[in-house]
Formats: sequence, structure tokens, C-alpha cells
Amino acid sequence: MSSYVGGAGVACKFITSSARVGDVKVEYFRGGRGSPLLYLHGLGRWAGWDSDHIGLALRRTVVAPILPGWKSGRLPARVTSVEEYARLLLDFMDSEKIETVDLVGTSLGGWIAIHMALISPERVSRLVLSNAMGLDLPDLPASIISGLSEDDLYAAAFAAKSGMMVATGDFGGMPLNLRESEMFRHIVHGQRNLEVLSGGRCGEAGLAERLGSLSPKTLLLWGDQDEIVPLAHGERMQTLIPGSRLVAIEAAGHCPYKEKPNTFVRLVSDFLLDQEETVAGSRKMA
Amino acid sequence: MKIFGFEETTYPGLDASMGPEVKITNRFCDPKISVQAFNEHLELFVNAEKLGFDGAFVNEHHFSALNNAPDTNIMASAIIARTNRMKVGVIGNVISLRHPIAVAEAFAMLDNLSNGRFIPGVVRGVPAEWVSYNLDPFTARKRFTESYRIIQRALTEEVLDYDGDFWNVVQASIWPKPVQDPFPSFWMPAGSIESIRFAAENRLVACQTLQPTSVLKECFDEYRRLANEEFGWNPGFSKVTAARFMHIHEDHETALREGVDLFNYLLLSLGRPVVNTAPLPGFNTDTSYSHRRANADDVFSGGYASIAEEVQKGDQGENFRRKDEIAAEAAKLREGGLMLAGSPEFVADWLRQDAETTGYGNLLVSFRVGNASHAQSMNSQALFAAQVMPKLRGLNVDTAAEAEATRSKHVASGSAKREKAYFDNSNYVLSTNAIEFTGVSYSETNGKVSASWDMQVAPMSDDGSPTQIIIPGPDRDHIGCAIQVFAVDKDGQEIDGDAEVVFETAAPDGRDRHTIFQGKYEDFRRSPDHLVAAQKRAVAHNGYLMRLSILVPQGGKQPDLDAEESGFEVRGFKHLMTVTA
Repeated sequence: MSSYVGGAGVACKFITSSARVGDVKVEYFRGGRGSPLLYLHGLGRWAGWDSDHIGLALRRTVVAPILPGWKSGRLPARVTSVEEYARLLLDFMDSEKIETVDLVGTSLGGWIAIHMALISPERVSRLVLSNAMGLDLPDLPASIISGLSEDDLYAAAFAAKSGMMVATGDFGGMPLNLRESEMFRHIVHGQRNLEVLSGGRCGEAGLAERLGSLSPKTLLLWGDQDEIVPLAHGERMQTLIPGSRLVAIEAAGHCPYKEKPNTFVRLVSDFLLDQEETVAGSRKMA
Repeated sequence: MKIFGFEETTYPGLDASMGPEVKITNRFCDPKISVQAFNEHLELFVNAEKLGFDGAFVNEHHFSALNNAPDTNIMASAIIARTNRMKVGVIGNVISLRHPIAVAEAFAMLDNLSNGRFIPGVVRGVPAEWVSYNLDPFTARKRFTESYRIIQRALTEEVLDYDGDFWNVVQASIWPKPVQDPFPSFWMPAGSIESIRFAAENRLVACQTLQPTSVLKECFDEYRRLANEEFGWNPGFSKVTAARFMHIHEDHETALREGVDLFNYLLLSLGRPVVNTAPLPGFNTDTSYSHRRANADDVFSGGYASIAEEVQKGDQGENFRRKDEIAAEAAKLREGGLMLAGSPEFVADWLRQDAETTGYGNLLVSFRVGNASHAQSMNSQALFAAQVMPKLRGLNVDTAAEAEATRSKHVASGSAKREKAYFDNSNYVLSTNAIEFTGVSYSETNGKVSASWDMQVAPMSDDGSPTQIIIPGPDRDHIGCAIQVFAVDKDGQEIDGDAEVVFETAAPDGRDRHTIFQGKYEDFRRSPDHLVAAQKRAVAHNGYLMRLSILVPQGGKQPDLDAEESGFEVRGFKHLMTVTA
């Protein structure tokens, strides 16, 4: 396992590329150095090389695919379930000659990551699940987000209820309008895609029972204000996934990599480097 | 209030009509223009001294026309060489890009070259530098902290050993020593909460620029609050600094119009090849700016970038624009704390409000903004000195008590008087285990029995290099090298205190005889470790004999130097004269 610690120069450089997996085209971003890390997005697809990509690329070669069909809204024929996305991405790893990865998945990407780790445990060294969808239990049901208005969807997804946040820019604090952002437009688009994929349901029955057989070392990161996949889901996953740890990110919702990018990257980075420092703005749950 | 000149040394020769799509690299630098710009800037700085400014500050940026002087120490040095009276400071070194020892040495030199007029300053830098130098931004804060500690200690300690995460320093003794003792507090930009906290904890002067009055107030209030509530001291006005870019003209509207153009040029000059695709993570934390209000109505919420956008949209490259459009653009820049343009009276009023609201006791003023001409800058400076500076001088002045309370604590450690001790740089011990030891001998002289430990320095070594065994005597710094003697008689009883002890050295033929120590055995017994100091310095060259003798009158306890308890040590210095660095 590489413990590469790189510099900002290398981490800011990235390429946009694509691979053919059967008749499916997979577009992806790639940058950084070191052993490969597969970074899977959720409702909102990756729009470019953002602060979280740069941060992860300081430690790994980050491969960040856009889920095929997510941009257009026309999912590939073979993708009839979340598990099928997982199989497709494993085939993508084959076509890119990537044997094993550290797997980081957020939201829907976390749900897909769980399936990948269940199907091919030997190909996943470490697993990071951030506000991961997937669980649907009688006492902890999965949300259904289809039919939510844009305002309701925003409120469920973000801790910054006013729509504005103070982001840490390069030259100081700067205001970011999350509500009007391109990222949120993508999330709205993703809401429609999820309806096609799973009827808008953010989990599946029967997955919880299988979490006990997950083998990779696992970190669960959860924005604690998420109303789409509440913290309780993360807590349940932590009890089910052997040897896993849960860290809550404060004052963040469904997308902590956006609302708290420095905290998010720092926690993943520490996990990848086998370090464990107290990171302000987060609390260890278990 | 103390008022200092400050210039970015922006390269003035870019084509102002270039659009943001042009990748600005150094191919746009005409060295002739660069040379002229340096000369003009230096003239501006020298003039500041003539006009009565308290000093001048310079900074550094890298890889862009914004700042054509990427080594702030060199620029400071050039100003120091041309001035006599005023302070010269840097705000500052990007310390994470350099070795802290090099920075400390540069600071020491700048202090000496200016005969104590130098003010040190340190910065973390901006992400573009971290990208081009390919450093890990998550280490930014720790690197800065560690570097600062090393620099500050290297300037005040005689010999520094530092075992850090990023730098290891072994036995570094910086030359020269600074004139200023205590060395002045360092200046640093303090905008993020972590920087503010660092400045408050370590008593650095907190600086801010390119922000509205309200933001300066928030930052400085937080600095003062932390200092008082957490670190037990109250910062005076002199601990807080604002830097303001300005353009002054006798005619207010001319000032506004020219000012907007100048600032547009400054924005253009920011262009550089490195543009990170998103804010660099790890450089700050998610709460670095949580002490600021994120009010949509706040001027701050306009943001540096969005104000720039607005201003650039207004610039159609036409010479004629409506007065009220210009006034509006100038107002945006002014309220954003980016650029202050106007008549002297207008500028004075604004600055007075700025200073009184935020409480800064140091003001850095930049007159050559963007591609301002030499004439424009000198005129702006002259108007400021004559009509603005007098109105500000009396503001925000520390009382004598406040000034004393917030004085720097960087006292040089060498200043304190040291108790003299034994020579402490010994690298060699003479004893019966040393190769120089040749044996024990006994003789009788004038009714006294002499028992001696005999030594001889080896002849020239195989490679021809001579040796010296140096026995240091007392000097300015120490009382002499330590000599230890313990002697028992045949029955294991310690000998009497009135026995004489003599330690001498001489050439084999008897020349160059020196008595290093002569005294009583009692002298040794007085110290718990049986130590005395050599009384005189001596050097034993190759082949020289050394003899440590104990003389006892017949009938007294005779020393048995072969006994196990008997022994001696001389903690001297063996000087092997080979050619090494």
C-alpha cells in the first residue's frame, strides 16, 4: 500500500479521458500520483477537478468517473440496478488495467461502492463511505426523494439552509451561493436519474444483512445534518460493517465534500495514511 | 499613528487591453522596462524618507507581473542601502519556501546593514506558490509555525539545535548578531482565524489588506479579544496594521477615473500560468473565516472576485465614460477596501474613519498602483505627505505604558550574564587510558618523593599531520580546563592534603617548559569531584612530554599510583591539524 504524500502542483494537474466498456463509454477525470483511488459521485456528477479531487490527489492517483448515462439522463441498457453500476465499474477497472483501489463513494456512489466491495472484495483495499445510500430497513427506511420540490431537495441535502455558505477560498473567505450553483443543478438532474434507477428510493432491502461480509478496512464519514441519508444510517452501517469507524462532520449535509471540503479531505487523507488526528469540525462516533 | 510607504513593485509594461484569456508569462517582461520600474520604485522609497514617513515596507509575490520583486529581502536591502533614518521592513518572507536558517541569516544581515532599522515579517504565501513549488498544502500551517520558531530562536539563541517535522537544525550559530535587542516583533498577515490566533498567541503584529473596513474590524477585534482573553496581554495600537492602496490627485474626479484604470491594470497583472482549478484544500480549514459575517448585504459578500468582475465589465476600453459610472466603480473599489482614490481631503477623511473604526496604529500606503507612472506616484505621495499624513499622525497612538507592555519579548539569550565554568569544549581526555600515557615513575628530590604519571604526545602521524594537545587555561569565557586527581597509598588510604601536585609539559630536550598547574592535593579535595582548573594555557606538540606529579615529604603517606583507586583526568583539547572543512 503506497503512502504517497504529494505536492499541490502535481495534485492540481488532471486529465479528462474516457474508456470503452463494452458498448458503454465511461468518461472520467484523473490526476495525482501513487496507488489508484476510485472516487464515485452521488446525485450530482463531477463537473471538474474540485478541491476534494485536489485533496485526494495529494495522496493517490484519483480516478473520478462520471456514472455512464448520468449526464444525459439515459442510463445504459445494462444498468437496471445499483448493483449493475457496480459491475460496470469493475469492468471499467479491468479496461483501465486497475487491479485494486482505495474506493471512496459518496451518496449513491457509496451505495455502488458497497456493491463493488461485496462482488470483488479482493479488489478493494480500503473503503470510504460518505453519506452513503443503500440501507432500507423497517426501523430505518430509505428516503424517497422523487417528487421533492427543488427547495425541499435543497433543504434536505444542505446544512446551509440560507443557500449561502462562506467558503474558504484561496485569498480568504468568500461567499458561495450553493442554491444557485451548478453543483445543485446537477443534483436536481441526479434526482431524476435516481427515479429511473431505483424509483427515487435511496436504499434497497436486503443490503444491510450483507454488510457483515465486507472485508476492506472501512471509514464512514457523515455530514451530520443530512436529511436524505441521515446520520442514523451511518451509525447502523458502523455496527454492521466489521472493524469500521464512523466520523461525523459537523454543520454539513449530504455533500460534506462540498460544504466542508477541508475537513472531508483531511479525514480521508488521515485514513489513507493510517494517521488519526483530531480534526476540528468532526467528531468520532465509534 | 505610524505611516509607512509600501509598494508591490508591479511591472507596468503589460498591454492593458489584454483579455483574461491571455496566458501571462515572463515573455511579456521587457527587462528594460523592469529596470526602469525598479529605479523609479527605489526613488519613491527614498523620497518617502525625505517626506518624513516612518518607514517603508516591501513584500513578495511570485510568478506574476503583480510583483516584480519576488525576493522581499533583496528589495529591502536595496532600500536600506539608499536610506539612513527610516525603518525598512518586509511583509514578508514566504517562509515555507525557504530554509528558516537562511531567512534568519538574511534578517540578521538586514538588521546590521540598516543599523537596526529593519522590521521582520513572515507570510504563509498564496496557493499559486504552493502549487509551483509542489508543496503539500495540508502542511502549510505547521510549516509556517515551525519555520517561525526556528527563525525567531536562531536570531536570539547562541547555538540552535532544532528537531522538527520539516527541518532539522544542528548546532547553528547565526552570524551576525542583530543590533536590535530585543529583536522586534515579527509582522504577519492575519486574516484567517488560525493566523489571527497565532499572531495573538505569539505577539506578532497583525496585518490586513484588500478588505473593507468592516472586515478589518472583525479581524482586529478577534485578535485583540484572543490576546486579552486567552493569552493574557493587551495589544496596543502598534500591534495592528492596515495596508491601503491609493491614488491621490488634486482633482477628485481625475483621481477616481485614474484610480479605476490603475486598479484594472493591477487585476490584469495578477495573471499567471498557474491557476488551480479550485481552492487549494488544506491551506486553510473550513472554519478559517467563520469569524466573518456572511451577510448577503455586506460589501464583503461582493467578494474580491465579483467586484473585479463588475469593474472590468464597466471597462469597455473607451476613453470616455460617464462620470457617475466612474464614481460608482470607484465607490465599489473603495468600499471593498481594494482601492482608495480621491482628493487629499477625501482620502484623509476616509482613512480617518478606517483607522478610528478598526484601531490600527500602523498604516502602509501604496502610491504606485498598477501601471501608475512615476510622475503620478510621486504626485500622489507628495499630496499624501503634505495634506493627509498630518491629519492621521495623532490617531491611534499608544501611551508609553501600552507601548512598553506590548514590546517584543525576543530577547537575545546571550545578553544575560553567564556564570563562568570549566572549559566546556573538551574533545579529549588525558588519563591512564590515553595513548599518550607512558607509565608511572618514582624519584627522590630534596627529601621529597615524587610519584608521577608520565605522558608523551605521539610523534608525527603517518599522514604527516601534526597533533597538538592543548590544555586551556583561564580566559574570558571559562576558568580553565578541568583536572581531576585522586591518589591513595599502598594501604588504600587517601594521601594527605599537603602533598604538592604539579602538572607540566616540555619539549623532549627540556625547552618550552610550562607549568600548567601547581598546588596542593588539598585543592582537589575541596571539590566533590576532585576537580581543579588549569592555571595556565599550554600546548604540547608532537613528542612533548607531560608529567603530572605528586610530591610528598619522606615519611608522609606515599602515593601508590598503580593502585586501582588512584587516577587522573585532564579534559583538554586534541587538535589534529589535518586539512578538513
